[in-house]
Amino acid sequence: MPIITFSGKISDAESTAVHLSVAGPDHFFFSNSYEDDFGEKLNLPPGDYLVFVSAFSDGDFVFNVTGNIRSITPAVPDDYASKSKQSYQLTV
Amino acid sequence: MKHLLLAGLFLSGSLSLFAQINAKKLDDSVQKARTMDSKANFASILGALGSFAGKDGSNLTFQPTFYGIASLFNPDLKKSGNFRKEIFIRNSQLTLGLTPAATSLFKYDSLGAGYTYAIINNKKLTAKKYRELGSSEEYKTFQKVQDALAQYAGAHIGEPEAALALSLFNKGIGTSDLPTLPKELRSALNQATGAKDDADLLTKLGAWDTLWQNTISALSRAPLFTAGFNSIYDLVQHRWQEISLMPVNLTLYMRRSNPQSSSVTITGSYVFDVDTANKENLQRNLIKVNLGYDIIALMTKDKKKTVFEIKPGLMTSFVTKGKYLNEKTSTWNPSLTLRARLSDNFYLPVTLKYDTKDPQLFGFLAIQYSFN
Repeated sequence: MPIITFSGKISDAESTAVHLSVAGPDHFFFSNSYEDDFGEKLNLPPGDYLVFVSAFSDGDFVFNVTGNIRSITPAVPDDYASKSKQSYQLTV
Repeated sequence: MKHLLLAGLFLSGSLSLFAQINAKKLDDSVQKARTMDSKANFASILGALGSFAGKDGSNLTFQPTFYGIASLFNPDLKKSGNFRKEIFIRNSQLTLGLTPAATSLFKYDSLGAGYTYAIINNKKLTAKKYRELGSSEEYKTFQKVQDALAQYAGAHIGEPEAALALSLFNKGIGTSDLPTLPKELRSALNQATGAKDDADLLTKLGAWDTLWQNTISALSRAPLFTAGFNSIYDLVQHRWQEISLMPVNLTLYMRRSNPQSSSVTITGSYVFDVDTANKENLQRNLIKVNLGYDIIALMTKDKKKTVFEIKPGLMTSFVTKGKYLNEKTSTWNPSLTLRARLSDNFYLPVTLKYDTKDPQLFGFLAIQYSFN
């Protein structure tokens, strides 16, 4: 199973409030919250996934997905300069 | 006019430099929500070039922050762990100024240099505040709603239901969405929020956004207390012309929860001045106290930014050494500053001062740019 890394980097802020939710085939579901930079590695079987990210910070936040992925929409790395929520369609 | 042209050239050059150094725009809701008066007192800590002002139409001023400059050379400072530790450089600001000569575009009469430390500058959320927000009921409910939408979408991948959940997450769920919500999703949202009815559901769905926006708004209206010094070096006579110690520069908002709250600013300084126009180079010491009341006359429709501010004030001055012949020890002059926002960071202050000693009104036009 491909290892996919979901990562978030914050800058110019003491902390952040990030919540990541990943849903996929066969009732796959993962969610977690982060107060700092993170790199969450998940073993995901090939298929289509939906990723929900919310990031509240008074600094900058950049979300990225790396690993053996076929496609992700919208593109990553994604800068949350003018938003606090974004959903993605990921194919592994 | 020449000074205005010079200011324009200087500004455009600086903007281009800034664009090269930091092309990525930092969206800082707190900075945008700050009043123009507050920005004039202390720049954003993130600005490498700080704020720029053409004060009184006769000098050019930069207010770079230590943090902004240091993070250009060491970007690791911007990481949250380092950001938490670097309190001193986050609260330190330089003031660098130039006064162009009246006779030439390329000659300068004086140089200005100063340092300001923000003793109280709560314009950024602390890690402790983040922990408090993270453990709030509002945020926990928000997380449950996000998970409920993700699980619902995950169960309907490739179907319109998934697209609906994605859209609702990105834009937020409003009153008009409730009647059209599929039963399954409505049930999941009720369970996530513990809502009893439509009104309760809407309140709970929007509770976190309200709390976050209120927190950011209150942050931009946090008190500001700075201390520092300024100096002016006369390039013609090659001597210090003025040194000012500024132990007090305090800005307090009347109501922090109100984005349109007025604020009071009190500044006090002790000035060592040399009157170079006088043959004997008269040395004068003065205590100056300025009191201002900044009123937000106009805001943007979303109440996030001020558009027009009016600041009536009183400028007092006490001569403690080097009084002129027939000069009164103290003077009390009223002033009025009008600030109009031309863009997010570009604004135009006009200051009117009334001289009570020799009754007449003076007007000073300046341009000011704040590099967030």
